[in-house]
Amino acid sequence: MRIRLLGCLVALSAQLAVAQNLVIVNAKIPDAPGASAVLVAGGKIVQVVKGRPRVPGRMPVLDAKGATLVAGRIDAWAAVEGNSRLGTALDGFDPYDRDFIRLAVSQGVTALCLTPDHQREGSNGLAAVVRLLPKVDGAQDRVLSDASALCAGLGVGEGALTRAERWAKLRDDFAEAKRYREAWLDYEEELAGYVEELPEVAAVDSGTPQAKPKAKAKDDGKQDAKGKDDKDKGPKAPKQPPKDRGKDALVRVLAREIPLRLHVERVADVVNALELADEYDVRLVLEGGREAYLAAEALSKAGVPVVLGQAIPPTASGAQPDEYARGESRGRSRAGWLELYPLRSREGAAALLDAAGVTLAVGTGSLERSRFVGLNAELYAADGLDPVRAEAAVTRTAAEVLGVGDRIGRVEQGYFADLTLLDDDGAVVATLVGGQIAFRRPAQ
Amino acid sequence: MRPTAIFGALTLAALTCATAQDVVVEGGQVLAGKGVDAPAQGGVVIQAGKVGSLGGAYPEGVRVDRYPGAVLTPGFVDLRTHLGGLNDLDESAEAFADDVDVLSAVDLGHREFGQALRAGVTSCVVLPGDGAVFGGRGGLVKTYRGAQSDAPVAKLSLSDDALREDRAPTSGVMAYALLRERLEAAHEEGSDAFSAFARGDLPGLCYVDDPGNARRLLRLSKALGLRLVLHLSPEPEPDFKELPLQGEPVLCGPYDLGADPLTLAIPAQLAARGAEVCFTSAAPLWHPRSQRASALLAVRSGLSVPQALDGLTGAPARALGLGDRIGTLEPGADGDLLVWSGHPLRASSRLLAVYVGGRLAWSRPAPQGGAQ
Repeated sequence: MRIRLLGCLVALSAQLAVAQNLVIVNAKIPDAPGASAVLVAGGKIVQVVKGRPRVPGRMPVLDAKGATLVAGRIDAWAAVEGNSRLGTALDGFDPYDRDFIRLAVSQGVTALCLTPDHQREGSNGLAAVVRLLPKVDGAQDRVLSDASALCAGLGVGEGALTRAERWAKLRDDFAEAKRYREAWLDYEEELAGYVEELPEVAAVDSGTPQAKPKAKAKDDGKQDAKGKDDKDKGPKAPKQPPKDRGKDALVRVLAREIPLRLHVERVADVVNALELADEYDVRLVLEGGREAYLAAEALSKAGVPVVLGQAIPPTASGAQPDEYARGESRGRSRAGWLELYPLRSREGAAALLDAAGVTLAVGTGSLERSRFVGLNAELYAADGLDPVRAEAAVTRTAAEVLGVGDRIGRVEQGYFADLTLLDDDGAVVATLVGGQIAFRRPAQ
Repeated sequence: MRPTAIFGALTLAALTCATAQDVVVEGGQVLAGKGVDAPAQGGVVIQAGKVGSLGGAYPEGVRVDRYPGAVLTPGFVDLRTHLGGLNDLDESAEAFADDVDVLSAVDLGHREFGQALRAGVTSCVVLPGDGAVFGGRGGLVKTYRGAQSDAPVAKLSLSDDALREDRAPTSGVMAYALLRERLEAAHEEGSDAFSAFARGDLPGLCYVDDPGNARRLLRLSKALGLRLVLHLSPEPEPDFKELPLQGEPVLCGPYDLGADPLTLAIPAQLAARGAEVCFTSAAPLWHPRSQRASALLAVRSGLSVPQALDGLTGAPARALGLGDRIGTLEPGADGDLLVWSGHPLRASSRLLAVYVGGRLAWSRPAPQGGAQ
């Protein structure tokens, strides 16, 4: 083991100037009971071991002095301002905003799932997962996923009929996207058949049976007019359906490549979402879900995770949370509905979801709250959620729900060295991102 | 109206006394309050609704409620709420509502009080909103069983909320000038709430959003001997950190997770200058749990843990002149106490039970859920 490790370090030594190498010792590591040291090389965790690992040369050592080493916090719901049907929430975030990153890492936050806001109904663009690297030179692996999910909203503050209309619209979008997808699948199938029937093309490309004929066939498709002139001489080229980038994102959802992420709070919408996911056989992630505890069993059965927002509702009645109130310009109805029919939020709701077996991630619902996502998870624990689950909800479970569970969220070999050290009071002692010390608490 | 209110209060008080139980609440650690000499461990003996003794031998035949390993603290005191007012305690038609008593309009049985109780708030001051320069008075209320106390509090506002186009004042400068003129005039006479505040008989909470007005008001308060508590607007205003508040109370919050870093640093900066920092939720405008969350956020921005706990308990009680009755577990104080799974300023600590006047007012239901 040690020999292999040495080899690994030698291989990395060429990179030493830029790569982040470090040994953390004397840490309590809940992810690896018994271990107390972590070896970081090239910005990743190379080894989690007991005692003090033997390392060659002058490797910097960070003495944790008994502090607890955990994975950096992930805000699984960092809504940016704005949305775009064809875009991604990445466009609403400046990954080089040093002040933002400094504040976030000082609270132990090392990654965000950027989501569009949901002021507009329907599809609002793609969610992205970014790491909060403190230096610009660490640009590689800054964006872990540029398509973590396709996000959509219904207007939570709206009345029942408006929301019903929007559901209908979303269903229509899916029906259209399904037809669009089928048209393209048919086209590709026809194209393959057409290529096979072209004798001279097949002969020329017999060496590479799959990829090349397609490329050629596309050329042929474009020369449709010419093909018509020669239609007696060979089979007819299939007609390419029109391209629609908006539908392409929905097609990725229909192909189960990425999940559909819906912001819903009311239980009626949770039920509608489950029906939609079932009808179109798509993966679903819910965002918000203040009333989701009322459908906990159904969510658990369908295996649908929930990304929770603020543990403390912004107001006592659960009405007019600020993320909905932003749409005030649309008239009084929005605020009015929430006041007349407040969300049935309840204390201990997260614990009820957890008890039913629903997978939970915790976010904050807004980029400006992201730095306190760790505190938010602890407040869920104060509200009755098991503390171990609450911790996982901003680390490993969050990463899994976001589709990056193989790279961040754990103190484990092969994972990015995005780590935070906590003292016994839960305060952040130091934060590392990609093995670089991004924050260190000043001596008191 | 006044005699009836007092009679009602006395009747309530009598009822509370007659049925209050004696109990010993035992945990692993007692945080009895600033300056209270308490053994680190043991129980809090409550007799006839008041704290009898800390630690030591328990009296014979008294029920002992045991919470192994739990942390006991005084009940939280929130200096500014509008609970039970059905969102209707903000009147702005007149700039000075000299003798309005909002408690006569408050529904003391409203479920919002229960929500505050489950957030650990056992005493709260219910006040008018910020729409008038002098909004009238409110008073201290226990969040359990609507027991109203005899501690009235005046409410002032030197903020944009108190300005209107159709009546004076229309500017912050004029608002201060009018207030000063009226305070100086009312200093000697009058039986209304405004005069009582002007004489220094009544504590008053003033919401301020401008550091200049806050400074002027503090000077005036010293000159006239007012019992003033400033409530600083949570909008980012870095100059608040310079306010001369040696030994004086100041109310901070409510803060949410999105609060500006400049705002969150102010409690620590003012505490370092000697201010008695207190925290509020302004419930139901914000959730009652925002009071503790505000303190947690202040701790993450540099405030010490003992100061933050004092800001939820002792400091607001002292600001009302009730430092020996609430916000503390010293013998003789009201038997209002909280049972926590850990230190209350560790965010993940859970509130396990709330006692008010020695009664078990709420305890966390079994993990299976059940009724809220």
